[in-house]
Amino acid sequence: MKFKNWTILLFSILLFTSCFEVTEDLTFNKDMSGTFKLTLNLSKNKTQVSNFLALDSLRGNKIPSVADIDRSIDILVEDIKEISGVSNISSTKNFNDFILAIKFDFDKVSTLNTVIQHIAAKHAKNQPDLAKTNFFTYNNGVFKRESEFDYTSLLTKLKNEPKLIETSTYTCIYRFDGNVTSSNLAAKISPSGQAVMLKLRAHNLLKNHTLVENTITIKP
Amino acid sequence: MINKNQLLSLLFLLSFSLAWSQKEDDILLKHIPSDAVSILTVHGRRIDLKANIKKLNENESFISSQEKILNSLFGEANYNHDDYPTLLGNFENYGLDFIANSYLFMQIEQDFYAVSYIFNISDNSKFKTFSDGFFEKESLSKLELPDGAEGFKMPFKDVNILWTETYGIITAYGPKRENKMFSAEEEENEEEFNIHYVINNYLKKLVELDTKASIATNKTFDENYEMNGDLVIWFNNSLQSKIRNENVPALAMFDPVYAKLDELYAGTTTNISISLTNHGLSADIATIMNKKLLKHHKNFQKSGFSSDVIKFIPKDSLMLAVGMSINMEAIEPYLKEVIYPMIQEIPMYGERATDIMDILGVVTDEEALYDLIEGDFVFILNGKNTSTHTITETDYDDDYNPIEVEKTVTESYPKMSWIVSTKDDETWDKFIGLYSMNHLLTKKDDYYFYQNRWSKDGMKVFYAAKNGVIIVSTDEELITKYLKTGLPASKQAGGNVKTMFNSNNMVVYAQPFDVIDDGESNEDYKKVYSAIEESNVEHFKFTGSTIKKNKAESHLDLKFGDGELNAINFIFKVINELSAEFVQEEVDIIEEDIEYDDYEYYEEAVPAEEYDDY
Repeated sequence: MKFKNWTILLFSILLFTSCFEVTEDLTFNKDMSGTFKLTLNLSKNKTQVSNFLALDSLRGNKIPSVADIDRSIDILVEDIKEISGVSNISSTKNFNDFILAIKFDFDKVSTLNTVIQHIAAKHAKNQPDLAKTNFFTYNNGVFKRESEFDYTSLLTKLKNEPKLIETSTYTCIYRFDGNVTSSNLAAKISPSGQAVMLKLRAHNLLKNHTLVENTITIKP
Repeated sequence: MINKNQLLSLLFLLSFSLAWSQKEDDILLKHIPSDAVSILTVHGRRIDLKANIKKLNENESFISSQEKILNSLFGEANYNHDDYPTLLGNFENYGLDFIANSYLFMQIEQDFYAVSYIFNISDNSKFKTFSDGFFEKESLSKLELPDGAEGFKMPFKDVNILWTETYGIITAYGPKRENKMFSAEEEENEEEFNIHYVINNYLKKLVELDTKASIATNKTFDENYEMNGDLVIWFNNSLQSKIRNENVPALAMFDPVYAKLDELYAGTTTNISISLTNHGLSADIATIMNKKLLKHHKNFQKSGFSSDVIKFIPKDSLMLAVGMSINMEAIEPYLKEVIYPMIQEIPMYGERATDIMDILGVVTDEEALYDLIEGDFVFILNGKNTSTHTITETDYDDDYNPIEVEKTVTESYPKMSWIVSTKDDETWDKFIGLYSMNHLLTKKDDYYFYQNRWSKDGMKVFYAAKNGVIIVSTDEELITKYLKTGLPASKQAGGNVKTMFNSNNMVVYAQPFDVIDDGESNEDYKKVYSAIEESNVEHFKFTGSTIKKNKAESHLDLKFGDGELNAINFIFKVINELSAEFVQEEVDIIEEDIEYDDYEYYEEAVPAEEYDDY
């Protein structure tokens, strides 16, 4: 499924959803390898989503079937498998609660960036900057999360859905093998001192994609 | 340009004119042009007999509205509100007279539209003293008017006020075609095409209006205008083309349709006489029809709804029942003589309409069509259904490892039914059955139902065609228990509601129960429920339309429950609430511009403190 179709799929689902949660979950090991998991949770609105998926089309756009979504996730998994340094790829396809996720291990941070750049180059040709951006860097005890995604067109489409973008969230969770000494002021450091969570309202993130950026210093 | 606030303000002033005076009525009619599109009349004396006018200043809604309304109408800087805090409650002291009939009328001319309120002045010297103190005359633009009249334009407001020795007029106005008013070609002769200049001339004509050109001598007005209401609204239906919004160029393609509508409604008027009652208000609505319309309406008319349909209207928790009963056999001549000629005037659509009718003619004949849809249509809302299911939310431990937490939630959806009469339920049953072939619908006994395959505990929609009716409903009991027989007599809506459906061809019955809100509804629904509850409406009834001679007659009845709210309070409350709503609307528009137009308005990230739960 092309990125454009993914956008339509996501946009269509979100239109019928008053609240969605996206979680970006990253855990680093001592050797800088780690685990990445991206989750989309639509469970709060599963009745609306399921009714929506029962339609053939809406406002001129074809509505994907569950089988389409299932197949698309499989394609993504296959694409990620092509990257060397990636292992233990798995996906979650819970169509009862509408929770979708992709999870994999990576051997170093650059591999994680390669995965994102590879997916972007293949499926997001209208966002060329994505394929060049290093979203994550982790050197000398400093972890950085960058952002290059341009949400302008999505924001325009969602302009008439204020409730949707006000109630939805984007959460970033980063875990380290060391104590976090500083991070983005809007983020929160866990009681153990080894994890950081930045929870953003979709409303704010869509208007300013740099809100997701973070610089975290870790003391081994 | 006139805005909603100004229009509301004029309405407010009009409704306010229930007060004391000793003047004879209708002199003011001579200053309303004969081509007014609509006229709203307040019969102050009649209302005063029913309501305690002197207590007007004790009405909270009235008091809270007063300043806001005057600001909206005149502009805060143009009058001295502080010196006249109870202006509208003490108008007699200022020479104003609202006890005689006063009128709000609308006129739509080629280049502008105007809504004017005309009222009596009982004491010219008192009024002069008042106007000198009330208005900041030095900052107002003086209007050019005939001798004996004085008037001003409110700066930054498209509102003018003028007065003579015996009456006053407040006019809110706007250009009908904004582009034409200020087009480049006409800039050279700016004055002639300046809206304010045009309106000044319009007001001059109102003052000098010849009685023969006034509404008082208009035959269509005279024929249908009824004096037996506390508030009377009169419409001239034959001016449809004047009402078209000419600021939307695309609508120009419908001009031929508007011309046909003018022709169709030529000579027809509608009069709504509203009477305030102890617990609400009632209205008689009468439309005088021309011969062509009369012929069609007589053919449409049925004496009431079929018992096959009525027996599905429930008694318990009935919140809304809306119905229309027409003689389908009268449709064909109406389509041929009235609708087709109109549609065929529209480019492209005319040909398509003809094609559709030709195809329809191939598929079915007229008789079969009348059998398929017999003519009774009813919509019913009678409470709500609830469904319970689990959702999965994400919680986090101390290291922010996600933990999936299952929660049980209850969702509600309305219990509603559409019922349509048919003489051929077998064909409908087969037709609905087609959808079960691809498993979109599931068949059970005599009915079909839709239920989302991933949400077994969610909403069910039932479809059935049996015993002369087609039913689409979310009311499971109605289908599973009573499809074959209809509701038993003890469960059917009785008395008043049954009579309404038995003897009318149009019915709207609303009885806003509070059973719908169980506290689990979303915020938007809660606002609606709260508004319904606060309005204290016991029932709303509309029945029509009975043809008597050349008139189609309908009746409306609004009754409030016990409590302080009566019709007068209701009117003020509605105006007050709407004013607040419109003010909010304007603010929202401004905010939207800031947020979205240039994407320069960014908010900071959500402060960490807001996420203590995590």
